[in-house]
Amino acid sequence: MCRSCQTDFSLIAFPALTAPSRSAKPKAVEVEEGATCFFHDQNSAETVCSGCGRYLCAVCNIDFGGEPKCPACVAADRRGGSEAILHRILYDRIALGLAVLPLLLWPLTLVTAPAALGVVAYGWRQPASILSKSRARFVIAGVLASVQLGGWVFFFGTLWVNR
Amino acid sequence: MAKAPRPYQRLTRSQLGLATYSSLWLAKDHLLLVESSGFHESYHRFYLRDIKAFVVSDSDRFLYSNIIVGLLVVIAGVPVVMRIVEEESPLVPLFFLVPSLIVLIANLILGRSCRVDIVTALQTRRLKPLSRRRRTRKVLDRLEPLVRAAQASLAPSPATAPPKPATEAPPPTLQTG
Repeated sequence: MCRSCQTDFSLIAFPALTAPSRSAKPKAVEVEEGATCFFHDQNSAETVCSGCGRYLCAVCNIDFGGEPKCPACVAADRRGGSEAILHRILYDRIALGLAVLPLLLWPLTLVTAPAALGVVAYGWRQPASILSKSRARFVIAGVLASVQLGGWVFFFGTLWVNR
Repeated sequence: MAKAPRPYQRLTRSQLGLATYSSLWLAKDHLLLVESSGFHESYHRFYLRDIKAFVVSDSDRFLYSNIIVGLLVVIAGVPVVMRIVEEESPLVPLFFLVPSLIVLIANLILGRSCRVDIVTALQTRRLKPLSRRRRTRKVLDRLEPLVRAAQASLAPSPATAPPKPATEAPPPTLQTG
């Protein structure tokens, strides 16, 4: 029970709870010919970056997905890889929302159907959610928006013919 | 061509929050907490080697939701009974009674609620997808050996562990239930 708020709780503790904190301690260069860190020429190199091959000291060595990486490669991974992605915009769901929700107020589809097709065209090339790479929502949204646009073309075509 | 294995395995289904929903996924070396608004996803990673503890505490949500939905069932049930007594068709009031009854039964089946916090060196974060005791126990039973394996190098061996002083109080009992 918590002594402060008197709430019952269960604690599942792991060795990291009591382990001393790990701190990187770089070694100074001992001989003039010794390999030095790419970023700190006073520090002795201890490993090689698995991304770019630069020599790294203990300060610059980042354990990233089980591999040693330098800060520059970690920053590059944030843009391209999946390990460090912090958020994603779900264009497939936006497109599907634009194609389906306005059906409740169908005149809106005159505007939202082209918008949905635009989102499908733009979002198709954008990175998807890291959990699912399926493009099914894009396809459904594209088909629905095309049908809606076809309906509007038919409607205005009929008006034009009968004027 | 063989399909590449999925990097993430689902641990929980999406838990609905206020205009957001969240779910928990397991990767090779980390837990992934996904919070989504429907059109945008945010990812929070907890590496297995960094997890210090899970703190599981009781929540009153199960009780209060049962009271609220139970009241709805009573309110929707009275007109049904009255209609039956008056020998009229109870179809219209049943339209309101059945959904609330389904919600009540679903809530009872899902079981008691709880709160789970994950503790790492730098943060303590609520795991919203783990809001039911039964689901939490299943997920933690699966995670515990993985976290211990990831932290095997941190566990002190009996030979190197310092001797405990005689006056030291016994450590608190760890509960997993």
